[in-house]
Parts: sequence; structure tokens; C-alpha cells
Amino acid sequence: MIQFSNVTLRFPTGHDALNDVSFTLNKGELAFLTGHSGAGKSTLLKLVAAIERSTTGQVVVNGENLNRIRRSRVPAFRRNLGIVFQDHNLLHDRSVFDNVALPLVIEGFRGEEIARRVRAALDKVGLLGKESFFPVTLSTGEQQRVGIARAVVNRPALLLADEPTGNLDPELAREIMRLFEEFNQVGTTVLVATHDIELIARKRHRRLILKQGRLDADTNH
Amino acid sequence: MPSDPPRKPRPRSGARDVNPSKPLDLNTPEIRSNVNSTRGTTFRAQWRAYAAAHRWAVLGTLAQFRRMPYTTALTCVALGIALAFPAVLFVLLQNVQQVTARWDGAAQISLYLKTSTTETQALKLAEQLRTQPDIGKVDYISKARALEDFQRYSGLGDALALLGENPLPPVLVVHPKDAQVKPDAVQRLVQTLQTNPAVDVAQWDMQWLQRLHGLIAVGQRAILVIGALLLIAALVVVGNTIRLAVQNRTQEIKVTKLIGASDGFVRRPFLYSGFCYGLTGGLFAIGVVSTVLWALHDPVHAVALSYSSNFELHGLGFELSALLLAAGIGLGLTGSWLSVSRHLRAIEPGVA
Ligand SMILES: Nc1ncnc2c1ncn2[C@@H]1O[C@H](COP(=O)(O)OP(=O)(O)O)[C@@H](O)[C@H]1O
Ligand SMILES: [Mg+2]
Repeated sequence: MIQFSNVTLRFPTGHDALNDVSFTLNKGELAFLTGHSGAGKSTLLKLVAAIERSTTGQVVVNGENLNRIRRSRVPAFRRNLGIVFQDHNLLHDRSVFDNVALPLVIEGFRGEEIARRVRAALDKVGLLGKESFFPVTLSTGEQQRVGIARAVVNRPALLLADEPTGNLDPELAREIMRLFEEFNQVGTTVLVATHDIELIARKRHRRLILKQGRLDADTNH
Repeated sequence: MPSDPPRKPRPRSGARDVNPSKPLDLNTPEIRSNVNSTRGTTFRAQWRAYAAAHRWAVLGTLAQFRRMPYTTALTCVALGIALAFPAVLFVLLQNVQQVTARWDGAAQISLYLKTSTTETQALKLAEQLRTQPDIGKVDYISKARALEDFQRYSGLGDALALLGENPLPPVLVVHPKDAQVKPDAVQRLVQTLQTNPAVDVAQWDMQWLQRLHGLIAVGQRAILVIGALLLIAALVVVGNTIRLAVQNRTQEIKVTKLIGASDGFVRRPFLYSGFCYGLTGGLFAIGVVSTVLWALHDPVHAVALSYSSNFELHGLGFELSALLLAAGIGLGLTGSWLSVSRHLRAIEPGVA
């Protein structure tokens, strides 16, 4: 699903945010991307989502070579991804329903199908009944869950999350992590970036550890 | 499909998927076909999908208006004035042309014959002129008639009586055959008539009409130039408003693009805004032009009456109104298209 081959990303500042990173994430896998702040976790996810392009090395995601992807192809490529952001990135002048519906609207689903799927996704994250609320009236944890519902509502092949639990208390954080495990159990490939080592310490999942832009370890426990 | 999911919130629903019968992976043929069946297989489905996207864009447009109500109103007004100004000039000029078209019909040439010309000679010349292909009517004004007219209109009858003999020449009034004759054609006719030995002076009474035609041509050109300048100004105003709107929604645009929206999808609410600006501006322009013409109606009518003319100021009319609306919408759409295309590219997720 994701294949990095000797990927380096050098910013115009001359700083190598990623340095010679190679790894493969297979279809149906769940992996955590960890490392200190500034290690390059967000940068790696941006490469996967075709937000940044690598300076050298090759990035292939979902069969698409992102070094060579055309600008006009990027939207269609991204529709196969679900992305969860640390700061939710919800649209504040749209209701919860409309926020979650956005990926389906973009894909051209019709109204009833949208309503059905949005309700199913909101049910999944425990927010059914809050469709007509506006994001500001929700707690941080609820907002984060709206963001997750939006990321999974079109059943993406690959789910990316950048510090999804960054603003949450430990109990909520564990709950969110369980959600990702559930999505993975039904076949979605999941890659979660987090610097919260404690949260995943007891979990037996694959871990990619970044250290100053280099892949320091790729462990399975 | 199984029955609707229960409405009760279930935060920890175990391994239950949004759709328990299917994995989340979109790439299985099963889901692909599911996706396809929900979009665009029939016209009806396509229409419903369009309606959902349309609703989204309209909500975005409305939010945009709500966020900057004054800018929105000012844009519509500016667009309206930019349209109304050349439209008023155009309608007025059209009226002037209509009036002069009537005068053109009245283009006439006075032939002052030599005073020695006898009545028989004059009538013979008139008969001869009537056979000419470019001449319609020829009226004969005898020396006696001329004197009578002069006395009646000048009030100098007594002074003429002192002269004893009638000093006025007989006159032939020549009307060109073609009612819409061009000024230079009249000019040519005048020149040929002047060469006739019986004619003392051939005079075109409406020479000033030629100058008026020239002025109208200048006016038309001026309207074109002013219209073009105002058009550019209107485009700039709309473009600037859309630029502000795009900047206002930078965050939303980034998020939407990251979720996989195409440029077209992101552009749509801004085009709708441009359409609304254009439509409102066009209606406003129609209102302005109608008001100006209404205000001018009475004074113009009074002037016309004093010339014992039944001239009525012509209004905007359906065609011109439709043209104003179309021009407004065209301007609004073009302005927002140019602006949004220019500024959208710069907004990419991840680029600060
Ligand atoms: N646009 C950029 N230009 C220059 N340097 C950047 C840019 N984005 C990130 N960096 C740098 O790259 C490094 C990795 O950043 P990031 O991927 O955000 O780390 P993490 O998410 O692991 O905290 C940091 O040192 C950061 O300062
Ligand atoms: Mg980060």
C-alpha cells in the first residue's frame, strides 16, 4: 500500500526532514509512526498524501508513483485516503453532518446515500444525534471524532492520522486508538503518527521509529 | 442493505463496521461496484448527486455573503453602476438618432432662382427637376408667395412696401426622393443643382444635420470607450471581491483539497457568487437606467412639445434589459473565474 525507497526530503532551508527512508506498509497493516517532535513524522505523512514531494527516492502509494503524479490526478488519488489531523481541520461554518458528508459530496454521491453513510460513520464514532451541531459547540474529543468520521466515511483504502490524540486526555486517547484498531480489523490500512509512546507501549503493533529524519527502527512489538 | 443503524450513540461498538457486510477497503471489486451504483448510472442518480454538490456550493456561497455583507453589496452596486452608465448614454443616443432620422426625411434644398426668372420658366424647371431620379417632390414658391410669407413672419411688411418692387426671388424647394438620404448624397445633389443657369443660390437648409451625424458617431465611439473602461473596472471589482472571499476561505479550501476536491469543486461556490453579483448588478443597472429615463421623460416631453413635436423618450425595452442582465452575469462569472483561477493554485494543503 505504501512503499518508500531511499526517500530524502530536503526543504529549501537545506534541512533534511527525511533522510534515506525506506519501508513498506502492506495492505491491511496497522503501523505507528513514532519519534520525537521534529523527527519528521508529519513530513512523512505529507509525502504519502502527495502534499510534499520527495527530493530523491521514490514514494509509491496505492499503486501510484507520487514522484510522477500529475497535478490533475492528485484529487482522485486523495479520495482513496482518509486523513485525520491533529487540529481536526473541521469547517466551522458547516454542521457536523456537512463536515462528515464532504468527502461523499466531492465524490458525487447522491443525497440519500450520503445521509445513510454519514449516519453510519457518526454512529461508529459515537456521535449519532449530533448531526446538526456546529463544531464549536462540541468538546475537543468530539471534534476529533467528527474528524475521524469524515476520514472514514468514504471507506478509504488507507487511513492516515497525524497526532490524532495530541489534544486529548488519556482516556479519550485510548478510545480513539481503539477506533483505529477497529478500522484496521475490517481491512483498512492504517498509519498513525504519534509521539505519545506510552499510549502505544503495551500494544503489539508495528512501529516505525524516526530519529532526526532517519528511520531508526522498524519493530513489531 | 441491512436496516438503518440504531439511533442510539454507541461509542464503543466493537468490531462493528459502518457496513458490517463489507470491509473498508475501497479496492475490492465489491465496493467499487457499490460506489458505481450510487453515482451516475441513471440520469436521476446523476441529478441527485449534482443536487448534493450544488447544495454544498450554495451553502458556501451564502456563508461567503454572510461573512462579508458590505463588500458583497458594494460589489453589486459597483457592477450595476458600471453597467448603467454606458446603458443610459446608449439609450439617450438611440433617442437622438431616432429624432434625426425624422429630420433626415425632411432634408430639403432651397433653390433661389435669379430674380429675372419668369413664373413659366420656374414652373418648367420644377417640372424638369421632378423627372430626375434622385428628386422626389419640388415645391414652387412664387415671388408673391415669398413676399407674403416674409411679411407674415418678419413683421417688416411696411419696410418692403417702401421699395415698391418685390425684391424677393422665386424659390424652388427640392426634396430628395430617398427619405433616409445620406448627407453626402444631399451635398452632391446641391452641387449639381448649383450649376443650373437659372439657379442663383442652391442651399441645403440642413447642413447642421451633417455635423450632428458626426457628433453622433463621436458619441457612439465615446460610449464604446467608456463602456470598455467601466467593463474592466467592473471585472477588477468583482475579481478583488472574489480574491477576498478566497483569502477568507483559505483554510476551508486547503481542507477540501486535502480531502480530494478538484479545482472545479473548490471553484464552484465562487462562480456562484460571481453569478449572484452579476445578476444583482444587472437588475440594479436596469433599475438605475429606468429611473434616469423616467426622470428625463417629463422635461424631454416639454421640450418636444415646444417644438410642436410628439416625440416620446424611448425606454430600455426588453432586449436591452436582457442584454444588461446577460452582461452583468457574464461580467460576474468572468471576474470570479479569472480571480479564483489565479488565487486558487497558490492555496495547496501543506503550503503555509
Ligand atoms: N516547510 C518546511 N520548511 C522547512 N523545514 C521544515 C518544514 N516543515 C517541517 N520542517 C522541519 O522538518 C523537521 C521535521 O518536521 P515534522 O515532520 O513536522 O516533525 P514531527 O511531525 O515529527 O514533529 C523539523 O525540523 C521541521 O522544523
Ligand atoms: Mg508533527
